[in-house]
Amino acid sequence: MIRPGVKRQFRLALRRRDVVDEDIEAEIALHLELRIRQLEATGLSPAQARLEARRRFGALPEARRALRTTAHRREDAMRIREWFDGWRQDLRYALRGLGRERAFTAFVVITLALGIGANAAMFGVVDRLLLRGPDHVRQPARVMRVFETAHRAPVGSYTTDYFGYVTYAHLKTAGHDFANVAAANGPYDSMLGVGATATPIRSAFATADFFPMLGVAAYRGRFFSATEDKPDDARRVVVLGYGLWRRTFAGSDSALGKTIRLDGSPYVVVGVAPRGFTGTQLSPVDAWTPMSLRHPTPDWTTTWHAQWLQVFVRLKPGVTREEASADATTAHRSTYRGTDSTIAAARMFVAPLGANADGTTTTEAAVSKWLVGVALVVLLIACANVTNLQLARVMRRRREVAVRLALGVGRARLLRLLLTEGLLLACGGAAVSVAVAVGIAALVRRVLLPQVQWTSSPVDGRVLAATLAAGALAGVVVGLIPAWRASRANLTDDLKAGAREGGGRHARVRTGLTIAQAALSTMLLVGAGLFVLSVHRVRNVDLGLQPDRVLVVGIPVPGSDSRPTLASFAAEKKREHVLYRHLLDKLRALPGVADASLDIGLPFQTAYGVNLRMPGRDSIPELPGGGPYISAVSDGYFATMGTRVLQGRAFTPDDREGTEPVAIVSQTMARTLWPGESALSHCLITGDDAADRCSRIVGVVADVHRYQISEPPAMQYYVPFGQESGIGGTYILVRPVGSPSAIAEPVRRLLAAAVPEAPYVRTQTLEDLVAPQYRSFDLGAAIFTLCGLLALIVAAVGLYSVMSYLVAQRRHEFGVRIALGARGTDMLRLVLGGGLTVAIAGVALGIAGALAAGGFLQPLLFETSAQDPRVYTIVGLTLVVIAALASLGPALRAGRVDPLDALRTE
Amino acid sequence: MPDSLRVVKGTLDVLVLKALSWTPMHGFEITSWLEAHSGGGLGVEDSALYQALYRMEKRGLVAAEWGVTEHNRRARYYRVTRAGRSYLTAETKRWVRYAELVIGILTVSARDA
Repeated sequence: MIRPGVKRQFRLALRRRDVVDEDIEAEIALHLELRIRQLEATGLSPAQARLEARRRFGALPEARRALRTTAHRREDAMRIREWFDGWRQDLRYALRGLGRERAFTAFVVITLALGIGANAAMFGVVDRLLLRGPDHVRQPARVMRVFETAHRAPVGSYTTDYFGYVTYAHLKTAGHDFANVAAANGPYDSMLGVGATATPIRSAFATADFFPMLGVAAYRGRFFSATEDKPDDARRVVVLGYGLWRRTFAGSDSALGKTIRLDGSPYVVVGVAPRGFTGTQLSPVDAWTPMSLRHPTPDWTTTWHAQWLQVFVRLKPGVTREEASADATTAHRSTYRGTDSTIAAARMFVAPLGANADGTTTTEAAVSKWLVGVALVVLLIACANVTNLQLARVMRRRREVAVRLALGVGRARLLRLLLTEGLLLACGGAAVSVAVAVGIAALVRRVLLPQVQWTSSPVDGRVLAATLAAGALAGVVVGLIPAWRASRANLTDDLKAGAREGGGRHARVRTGLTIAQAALSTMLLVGAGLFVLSVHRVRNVDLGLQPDRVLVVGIPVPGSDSRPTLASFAAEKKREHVLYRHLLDKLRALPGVADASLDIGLPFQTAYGVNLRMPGRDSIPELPGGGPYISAVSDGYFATMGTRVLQGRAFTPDDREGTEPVAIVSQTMARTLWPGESALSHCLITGDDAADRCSRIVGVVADVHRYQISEPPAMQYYVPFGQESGIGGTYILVRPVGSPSAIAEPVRRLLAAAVPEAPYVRTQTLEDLVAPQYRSFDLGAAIFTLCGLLALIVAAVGLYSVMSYLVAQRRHEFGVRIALGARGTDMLRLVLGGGLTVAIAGVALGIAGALAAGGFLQPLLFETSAQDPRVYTIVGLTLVVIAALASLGPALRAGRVDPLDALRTE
Repeated sequence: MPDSLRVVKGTLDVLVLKALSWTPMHGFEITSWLEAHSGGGLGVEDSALYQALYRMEKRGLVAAEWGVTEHNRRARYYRVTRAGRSYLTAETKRWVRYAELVIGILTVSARDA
């Protein structure tokens, strides 16, 4: 190695190996000759002198070999050094050039930064949602979620990932392909602490084998053990999430062994989960509790009728998904002891953790895949645009390039210079892009994917690597095309040419690039339009209620925590009803409350089904949406929810326990059961009413969505609060005069004062329950629109620069034309027409591309055709108008060409 | 030269740099300079000198260029680079200290011991 700072002073052409060898021979020969002459001068004979000189020199062949080796190494090192020196010169030259054209450089850097930054940000999102899997899970690809598909005759097949304890236990004993089986669920809303200081947290429960299955170790303390999760003797222990531990215990080890109140009950802290651990899903978990504590029924260890667990398995090494699915099915069928023949014949399968509740890829995952595509398209557009501008620069520097070539600068050298410029611009772009990526990623995280636990910063090592890769790609693309064009330059032509001639072929390449940009922009904007339309439609779906107007209040009634026996149940329930009615009266008197009601069975939260019979009918038809679903509601419910009463009346304060049994049915239920006639005055026998009392139907209300924004219609009916049987879990619903979040605090204060023994009062808006379902559409619309607008701006600037360039090129021609009698407006029309032709060609191509790609986008849209003609028309027109605006400046310049001036420059 | 000393390993480089620190020279001039200033007391094969020169050229301590001697012969002239100069200074200091140390020990008189 040559030391840094040491340079060859005289830049000789690098020597080839044979030349180096000749030099060595010459040097040795001269030395011997001078030595002989010196010795002869001391009186030796020529023969003696020659002998002595040879002796003093030493062994000639060895010396020759050693000198050659050293000299060759030296030359190799020099060659590398020389290359870097040259490259440094190129770099300096490129920097000077870019520094002179600040506007150009700034525009290019910003364009590339947007393209690269969008890619880096999207990579970060996709990395979290699709690639990395949940944190702290060893080999997450080997951990699968269990699903069950059953086929029910009139409804068709349905898939679920909810199981009872029995399924988990049997898979554990009868399955052969699983290294581990575990069950878990959550996170759910929970309350930490009691009284006024109680805070909402997210808690999840899991079997003790869940943690070893994932391969996660506690950060402090330990996860709970199988002895603490015994079905008949579970301990109230809790493992805190890292975040909650830092928030409540300031990250102190003294938390271990402390008792905390979770949903009113005491739990002993045994450990802290590592930072970012979220189990098998991606949203934050504040507390982990043993599965055996959270059972829905007294006979939960043996019943086939309750499903509340998600089951996870780790496949044994070498076992495929198909084998594991078959194994699970066999295990299920051989152990099922329930009475439902469709469940007995159900097929089980396993799918990766990222899958939806029905075993398909999640919408968010599918959307984020598209977003990566979109980000790449933006980068392509940015590259095309920068390449375009670079080509214009190369053309401006054509004379300079030709002179350099004529002076003997190698074409390879020239290529290197232009590539250096490209890489330099890309480096600048990549550097700025980090800021862009942080901005976009922060926005996406906070606004569009708030439910995901983000442990890494928006720009981590992997994102930076992706940024660098995108930057290098951009640099090569941006540098290579101009370099290739320039290195093919025709010397003599370029040397002879004035500033205006030639460039016909360049113009074609540039026009092609502009058309490509317009086409890609069109595709992005069509995508944006389709998503925006979807968002608009999804937001305007009539849910049958007004989620943004309703505050949902939950208050655990003291005493309900103890396990009810059948004997105590009725009395307990009665006490509860009295208490809730009392609270309702107090709330209605609260200033700012427009209406309030009580409700068992809350839309988007819980749906109940009980036995239902009708006098004079054997069976009730089944609808694809399931049901019929029952809710028990107090008077004022429909007014609070904003559900329209279509026929008859709503419940009154007199509809309650002990009065005439009545019911209200949904429109779909009325139409299904009594087509062509009024449902009023028919009646329903609900629950296991031994007395067969028939509830008279007094009203028909609009259909209300149960769980999904998009779901098949289902039958629903309502009974008065107090007349229900077999269902429980009361919510208080408040419809404020103003905003629901503003009334939350007064409501909490009032209820906490009214029921001082209640551990906490939880409030949330109904909107919070519905909002997650809008997110994938919001995500798609936001990113497509953002990228589409970026692309549009970039493409417009690209078109402007091409048109400006063409006008400058043809100034002479325009001058001649005007001199020959053409008017300025003719020139204007000519240029404007040229710009519009390019734009229309691009739009046409883009529309064709969008139509072709639209089919893939279709599943992500909400009741919107991927071929929606309005979207295509609006996007097409927008692009043409923008193109006209971009061409207008150059066109006006063309019209103002002074013929004398233009001709004189020749 | 029966009484000539073998050059201690590694010193040849410094000696060559010292020779070149006055003026650029070609190989034979360096040899002559060393012989003249050591009174012919250094037993160095001429080829070793060239190997030292090539080695130092590779390390960037000396630079070479073709020139013409006073007798109009093409010869390769060597010149100390800036890196070579600082190397020479550092090595010289080291050598002098080493030599003083060795001399100090070897010349301890019986009285001192």
